[in-house]
Amino acid sequence: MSVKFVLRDREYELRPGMTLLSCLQKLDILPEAVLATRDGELIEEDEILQDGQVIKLVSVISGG
Amino acid sequence: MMKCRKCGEKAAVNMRQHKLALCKEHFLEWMPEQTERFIKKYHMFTPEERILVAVSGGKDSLSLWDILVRLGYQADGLYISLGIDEGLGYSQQSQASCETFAARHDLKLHVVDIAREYGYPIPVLAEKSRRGQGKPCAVCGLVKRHEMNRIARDLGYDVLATGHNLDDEAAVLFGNTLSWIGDYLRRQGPVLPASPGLVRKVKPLCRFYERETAAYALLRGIDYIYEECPFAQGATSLYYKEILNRMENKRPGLKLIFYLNFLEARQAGLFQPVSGAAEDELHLCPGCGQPTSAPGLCSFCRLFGQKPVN
Repeated sequence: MSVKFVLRDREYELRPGMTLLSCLQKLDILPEAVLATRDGELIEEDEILQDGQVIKLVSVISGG
Repeated sequence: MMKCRKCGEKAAVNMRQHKLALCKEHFLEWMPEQTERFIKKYHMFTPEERILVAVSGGKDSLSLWDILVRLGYQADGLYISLGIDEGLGYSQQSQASCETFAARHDLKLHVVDIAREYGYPIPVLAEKSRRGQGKPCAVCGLVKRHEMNRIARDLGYDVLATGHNLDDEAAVLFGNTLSWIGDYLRRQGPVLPASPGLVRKVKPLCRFYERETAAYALLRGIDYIYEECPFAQGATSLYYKEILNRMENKRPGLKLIFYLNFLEARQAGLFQPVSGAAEDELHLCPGCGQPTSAPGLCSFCRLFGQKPVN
């Protein structure tokens, strides 16, 4: 029972039933720094994530 | 479930600083509407003027180009090939993103290849120069600024537009405020007016958070380059952005207030030199005709004239 998160070449797994915001906090990822997509659709912080879902996190920070 | 303020459908983007959540359709309408508002508010350009958009293949510049064209402005693109490979084909990939976008929308894209134009790609140029010891970013910035201005002038464009977003602007402002660099603070803004040798520069996306420009690119289906420039790793601007985002997380709207209150303070004359102090005097470079802060050749012309460092 898990939700998988993919950020660049890293993968994380958390238990289902939490909101996206809670998951990002657990992973110590700032919500301001990423967009979360599921099956190509953007999802927001209050979305409760279910078992087996794969959430792709897109970093939005660029610079140099 | 978070709902779109306009239609009540499921929201795709929540902007806590505006207390505004929008669905895909209404977010894609909102971004161009707001951009148009900023273009007019800051008197950036008119529909009659010709705009050159500096594109890198990233989310910000391609979103800007997309929005300007949708708003009906005469906007052509400029891609500067820097010759950055680092085993990733970074410049090749970013050029391909720009060319794909231009072809898909039937737009004109000018491409300048630095190595072809000046003999060396940016990483080699940086190695040869005193400026580039360690990191090529300083040389890269210098070359890009010079070339963007040169091409815009040579091709008769009225204005040069870049895709800087609010996070970019807030990070620069944060750095300049930490060191209280008055000259830089005075010059930072949505518009840098034209002056002898210098075309007008504008930043129409300067009031959008980086998260919003990325959401626009994703929702619009713009095929942009996700990878960061390999030389950007460890950049101070990224460090400042993270600090600002940590504060934003606790205090939504902090980045926006930081930038907007700065613009107001600047407008009110807070950063003007005290009376009697020397104004920033610019000289025209005898090599290229672009402005420079000291008499004689500008940094760009000196870069190509100087000998390699041993």
